[in-house]
Amino acid sequence: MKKTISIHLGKQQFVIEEDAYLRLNNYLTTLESSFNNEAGTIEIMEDIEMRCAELLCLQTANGQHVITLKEVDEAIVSLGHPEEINEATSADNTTEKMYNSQQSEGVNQPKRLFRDVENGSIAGVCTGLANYLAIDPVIVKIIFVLLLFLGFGGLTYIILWIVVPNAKTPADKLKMKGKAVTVDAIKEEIENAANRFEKSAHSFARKVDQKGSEISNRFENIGLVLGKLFGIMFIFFSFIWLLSFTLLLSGNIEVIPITGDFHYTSLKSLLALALPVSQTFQLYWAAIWLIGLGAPFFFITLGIRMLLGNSKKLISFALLLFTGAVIVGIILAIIGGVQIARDFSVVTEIENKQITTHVDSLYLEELPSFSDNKKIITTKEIDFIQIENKRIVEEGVNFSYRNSSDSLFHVHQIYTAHGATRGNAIRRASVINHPFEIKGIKLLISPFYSYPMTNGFRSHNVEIIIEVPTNKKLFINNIAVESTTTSHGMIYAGKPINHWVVGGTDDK
Amino acid sequence: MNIDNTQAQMRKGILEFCILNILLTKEAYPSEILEQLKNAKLIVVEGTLYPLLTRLKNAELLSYRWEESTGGPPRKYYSITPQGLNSLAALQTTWDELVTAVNSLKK
Repeated sequence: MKKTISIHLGKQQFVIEEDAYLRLNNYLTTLESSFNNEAGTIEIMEDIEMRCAELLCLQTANGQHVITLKEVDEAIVSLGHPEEINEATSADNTTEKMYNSQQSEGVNQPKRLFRDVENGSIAGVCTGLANYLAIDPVIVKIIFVLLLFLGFGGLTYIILWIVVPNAKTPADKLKMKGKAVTVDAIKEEIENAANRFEKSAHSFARKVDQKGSEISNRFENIGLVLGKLFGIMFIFFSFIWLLSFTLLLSGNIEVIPITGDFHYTSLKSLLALALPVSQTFQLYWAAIWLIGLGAPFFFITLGIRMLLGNSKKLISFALLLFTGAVIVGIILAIIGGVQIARDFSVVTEIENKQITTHVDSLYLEELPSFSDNKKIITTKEIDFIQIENKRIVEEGVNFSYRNSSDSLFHVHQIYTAHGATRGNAIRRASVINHPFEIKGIKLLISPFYSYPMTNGFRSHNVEIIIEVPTNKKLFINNIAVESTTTSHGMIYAGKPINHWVVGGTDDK
Repeated sequence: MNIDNTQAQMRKGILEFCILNILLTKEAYPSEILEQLKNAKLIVVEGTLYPLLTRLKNAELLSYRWEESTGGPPRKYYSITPQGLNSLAALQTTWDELVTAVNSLKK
């Protein structure tokens, strides 16, 4: 029992055995190639096919219904083999004979560059190139992927795709491999193609179907390759993120430079300073961990999925889990944010100290710091956060002056702090420490003030208000200032005192 | 030197001439042309006819029309064109000259 195929040849329909069909197809394709794209090849083939149909018809007129190899072979003998036809009809016989014999002696032609779509994965660019250069196609593909990372790989591939022709006909394929394009070689090539087709045709769709899905296959392949690339990138970068995150935050790696007690502190301690209220701190700590771990794990899982090309339940579940973690982290952070805002909601100022003096002139100067009984003029360090004796030290004290209501100098020291409640704020303010004193005619103000670490950064502030009697003078940077104007300034360590007049130009 | 080759060469030269001659009196479809050429033993393999027909048609020495036939596929009927007639006349002259020449040499 044999398989039959229904064909349409020369405007007639035939039922033909499978092997007979292959032989016939082989013959017709070889014949067509042998005309070498001569003008009118299509018409010639049309006529030949019609004659072929006529011959086959004559044989089936004998009552036979199915075309077998016998009939096909007889028809081929009648019509003639490609060499015979070409010999009898070619334009210049002698030169072609010489050309042919030369080729059939096995002299290999130089290879020509084609794309090999049949064997390639996306558009056959790499495979064709590999063929031309006689390298392993896999190596060429690796090179292209590397070039893709360098930036111009994708563009190069696309340009080659457009410019380099596809090896479609058997003649092309022979040229691609550098074999001589003789009729024998073409026949061989077609037989090989037929074998390959036969094998794939048994397990997959027919030729017509294949043509249609070919295009979508190409796109699928591109998508797959890109997906794998992205997968690798995701995993790589997430891993780095994870690593640095864990190191930085896991509490005790100390990378933030501060001065004073320690030279460095960890991010965790820094966070504690910003969020003194323990509940807020915990919220944020949890949020940081959730997001900091959830996000890279999410990307790693995504990357794995893209590499594997499918998604098992476990992977989908993991993705959901990590997304959930990140979302929860964000929610916590928002809640924490609200709490922080509340913690700043109340601000109080308290007057810590007031000194009165009846001298005639007052000189405003910086109160120097001492260490080991030696006066420190300036200490320039990396100016980030200063912590000494578990107290945060800040630099920069505001001062302002205005008219006094009586004939005496009054100097007020005002502490400011924020808190969630009034009591909270007052408590924070009262533990600020800021040294200042009047020695004779000098008003010495320290440019530094400090407050306990546990208070956190809550916009603590220190301000000095100087009341100047109308007939007396205040000297800033040894220059008398107009006491009738109100003005303010700031004292920093080791610099001349800045001050400026409200509504006027800077004083000298 | 290859005798077969030369014989083929000789036949090849006159095939087109013969085709034009066949179509001189009336039109014919390829199978008919084939029959006559076979009877005259000018053609061995049928495949040789078709490229020649197409070449002659492309050179505008022949033209064709389709005719539907009952109980069979449509057929191409080839006919000679005025240009073809001219070429035929020229070939005829050459043929006569050749015959004369060869005969005079044969002795």
